[in-house]
Amino acid sequence: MLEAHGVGFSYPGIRVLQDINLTVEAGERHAIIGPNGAGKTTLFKVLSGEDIAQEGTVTYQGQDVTRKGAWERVKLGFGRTFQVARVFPEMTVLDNMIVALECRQRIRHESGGPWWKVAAGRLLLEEARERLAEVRLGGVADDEAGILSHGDKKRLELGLSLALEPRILLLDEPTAGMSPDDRKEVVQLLKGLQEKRDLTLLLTEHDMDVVFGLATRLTVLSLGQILASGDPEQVRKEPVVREVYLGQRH
Amino acid sequence: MRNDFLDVYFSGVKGRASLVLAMLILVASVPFSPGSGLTFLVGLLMIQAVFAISFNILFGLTGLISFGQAAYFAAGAYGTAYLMQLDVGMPFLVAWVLGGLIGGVFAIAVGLVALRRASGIYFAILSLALGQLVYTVIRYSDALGRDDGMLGIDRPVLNFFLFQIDLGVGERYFYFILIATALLVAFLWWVWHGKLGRVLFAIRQDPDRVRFLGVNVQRYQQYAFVIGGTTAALAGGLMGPWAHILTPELAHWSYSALPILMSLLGGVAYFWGPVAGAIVFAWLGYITRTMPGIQELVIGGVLLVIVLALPGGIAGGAARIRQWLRRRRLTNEKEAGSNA
Repeated sequence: MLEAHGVGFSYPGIRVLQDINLTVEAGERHAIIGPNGAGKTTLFKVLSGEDIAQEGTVTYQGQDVTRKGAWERVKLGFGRTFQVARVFPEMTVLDNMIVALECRQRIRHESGGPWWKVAAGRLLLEEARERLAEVRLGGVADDEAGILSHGDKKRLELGLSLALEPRILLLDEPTAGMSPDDRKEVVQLLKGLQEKRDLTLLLTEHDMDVVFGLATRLTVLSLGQILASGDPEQVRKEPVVREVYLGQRH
Repeated sequence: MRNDFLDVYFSGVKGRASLVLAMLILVASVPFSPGSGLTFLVGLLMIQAVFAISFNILFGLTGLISFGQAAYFAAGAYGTAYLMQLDVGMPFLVAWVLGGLIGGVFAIAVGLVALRRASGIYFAILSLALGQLVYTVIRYSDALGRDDGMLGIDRPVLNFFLFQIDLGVGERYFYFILIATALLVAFLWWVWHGKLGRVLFAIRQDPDRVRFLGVNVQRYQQYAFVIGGTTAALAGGLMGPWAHILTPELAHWSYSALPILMSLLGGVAYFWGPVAGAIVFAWLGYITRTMPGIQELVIGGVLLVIVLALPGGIAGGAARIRQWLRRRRLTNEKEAGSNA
């Protein structure tokens, strides 16, 4: 579904990614792990279009998207969340969702009711409330998003991305900074959503419980290169991986 | 904050409508007050209020700091006046709309350059530089009166074919300004509170997040630019016949500071903020008109106090008072309930 061929990326004076070859199959829950500074976030940026790869190509469903910007990739079916959740802090939670749904209307060239109407239509409002309930934010719909707890912001951001009904969702550390209970919950939420909506997930994660609880495929990144990729249990057993990454932690 | 757009629709519509109506009646009664000085100032105030909102569509709503807003205002003012003075019998309303379009086209051009190449402070400086271009062009154009300005601009006659309205009679042009600015404010209110306004407001808060909602952010910033430029130019187009004279100062960067100050004073997060700022600004100018020399000092001092005391501007302060009153009412009701 999403493939990287020989992708390389450097910031001035430092090489971050080197000859990355990665395939994400449709329906996978693909986790990328690696020590801090391995290049996970940069790889995410290059795959999602926030940054453009300097070497190699990125293809999505057979189409070359290497030079396409983020918004163009989103139109093709990409969704993305950030390591530190990014929502619209000065709007209510409900308005956050309304903005996301109206963006979907634009992408699909759907009308949102009479053009002169100021408020969002009734159907859209209903959907917004349903989607907030799905990520368990129904109770705080009228709160300003800026005052939400960290975990709630993360779930709101996930909800905003899901509102566009993406086919592949890129999650940069979806449980970063959460309590163990919240983490378990997010794992269940993501599993449920993925099965219900026929989603492909690509995520980075530090927490091994989340990784092994969620991933159907595992890729290990170290110093900008891929060390191993495959079935999570098998990758876990590879000596080089144990040495570089897992060995440091367990 | 801005999230009152649902509020607006579901409650208090009557309250707001009567407030707007009261304001319209108040303004409409100004020409009946003794002395014509006030009438002129209020006409100017209405024009400048639209100018200030047009700036705040860029700044408060979309998050773009334009230091060259006077260029669009002047482009509209000079464009309209120039077309009026051409001896081709162009109806005034056509000249006015064309003047607005000149501002809009100029905004597209500036936006294409500034939005593509720059962000943040660089964008501000670039908009300033491109704005000064208009100032220079006016100062060196014979057709636009060079440094002396364009003089003797008459109040127009509106020709509706079946009948004519001579706006030169009495205070008719004042009422024309009232109607024209009311329509412009209504349009800008619609932009601010509608679907377009919501996504522009989201762009101000986090353009990257909006990109990942599939929006071409640069194109929407360009929309904001065109709306701000066109409405500023339409406001400017009303100036010539009102003041009878246009001078290049209208395009100078210091004139661009006017809507910035008004917006900051009134509250950039609120649609009516710049209007409140414009009113206070005009009022300060009016009461200090007999203090030559220390006028700027007084105005500057008052602005400093207000900005420091009310970080959200006048509208922000008013919103806080409203919240406080609501909270007090709620606690009173609760106490009344527990006593009973």
